[in-house]
Amino acid sequence: MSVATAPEKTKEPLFGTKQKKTLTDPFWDNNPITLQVLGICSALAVTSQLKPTVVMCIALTVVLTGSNVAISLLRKQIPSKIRIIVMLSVVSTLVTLVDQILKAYAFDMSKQLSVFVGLIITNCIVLGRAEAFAMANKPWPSLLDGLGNGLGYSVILLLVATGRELLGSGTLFGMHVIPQALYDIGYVNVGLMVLPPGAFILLGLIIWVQKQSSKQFEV
Amino acid sequence: MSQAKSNSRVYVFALAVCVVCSLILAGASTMLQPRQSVNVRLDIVRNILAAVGHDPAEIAATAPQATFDLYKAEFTELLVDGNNNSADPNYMREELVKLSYPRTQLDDMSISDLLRVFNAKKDILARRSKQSLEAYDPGYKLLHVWQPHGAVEAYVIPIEGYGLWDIIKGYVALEADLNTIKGITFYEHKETPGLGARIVEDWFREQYKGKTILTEQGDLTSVTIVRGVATDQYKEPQLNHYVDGISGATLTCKGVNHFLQATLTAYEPFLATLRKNS
Repeated sequence: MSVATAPEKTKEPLFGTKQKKTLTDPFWDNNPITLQVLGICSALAVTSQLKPTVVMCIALTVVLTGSNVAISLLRKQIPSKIRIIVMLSVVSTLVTLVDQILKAYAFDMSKQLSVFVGLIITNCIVLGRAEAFAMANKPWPSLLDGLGNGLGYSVILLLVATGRELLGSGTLFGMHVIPQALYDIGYVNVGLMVLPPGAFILLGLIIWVQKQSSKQFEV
Repeated sequence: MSQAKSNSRVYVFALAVCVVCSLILAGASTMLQPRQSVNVRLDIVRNILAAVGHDPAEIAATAPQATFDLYKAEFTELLVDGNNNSADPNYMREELVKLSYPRTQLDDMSISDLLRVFNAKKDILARRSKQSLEAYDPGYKLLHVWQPHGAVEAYVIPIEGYGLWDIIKGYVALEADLNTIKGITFYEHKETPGLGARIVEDWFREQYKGKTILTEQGDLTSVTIVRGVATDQYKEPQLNHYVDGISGATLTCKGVNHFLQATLTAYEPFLATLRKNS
């Protein structure tokens, strides 16, 4: 993956096969949405158009990476009795911070995103990765895990959003891509795709394709 | 580790997490506050400019200070009280000084900025003066009068009210006849993206242009969003008061219909006198 390999090549131990696997596994083989089935709620809510989806993906990846690193740094200190509430505090702080920064420096974006900021706090992926990975691993692998899962989440969301916006509104990023000629011969936008069931259907199809390709079945 | 010792460690850790998190957030909020409030004001001014027909893309590309200057050059602000008599904005300054707002800052504020702060604080001010909010509230109404070349070409009215999730705020601009809609904008909302949030899209807002808020008899009727397509359900001249709906956004549209009607109803007595005088 070109995302992180370039600057890391010189530090081989920092980025060996194992680390690479941590980063790239969540893209497809262990995708947080389709295989771990986490974060479904936002996958359904934000994906009716690409633009808010992209913003959501960036925000979630930043928060997830940040919370994984923070939790991992604190992992030996966090008392296990209150670990969940500590994680929530860290995540909420990060999310609020992201929201405040967007409001100051990318106001238009923050206007689109503001509804979903709350959703990031309750996004199961963030808590799930903190509990399952960051509590048991060092900061660097946790960072890779957060980045990987954030990007894995983004891959699926972008797929779903592309399908929904294209089929539901005939646009991509708000620009018309389905030629007028097609409408003239009777093509109509699929209104269902704009509504939440459209996301369920597309997500189901993606999970099906993925289970077929990875031959992972629950018996 | 003994039970008692581990418990106290839990308390100390929880406390530390709370303190650190709140310090970070308080610090960030304080540092970013000035930039954020400029952004909010800029957004409002941009929407007022867009409501009277300035190209939104062009305004978005204009530097903040130039945008504020443009607004100052083209608009005057008209404040009336609950009885539609013209009101003195200095009353708001005098009241806000009681909440230790610095006077120099208040003197610099435009009427619309003053009104925004005053509206946010009027419940506190009412409590201080031992009156109910209803008795205390002067019922200010604000008009942004557009005079780009001297003559009045449009009146911009702030609108706000509940949509589906939260309050939607916006502006509606009326032509000088105070009947034809010149433009409508929404600048603050928490509606569902892709559904209710589509009220901010150009195609939706463009529909309002040229619609009229008065019937042919001159009674207020506002402009209503229908379910589905307006032309399927209404013919001229009724069609002048209806626009197409957004599928999946019924409750947002109901909210917009309601607060647009309510605001126009509240302004109507004043608008009627303006119409008579012009």
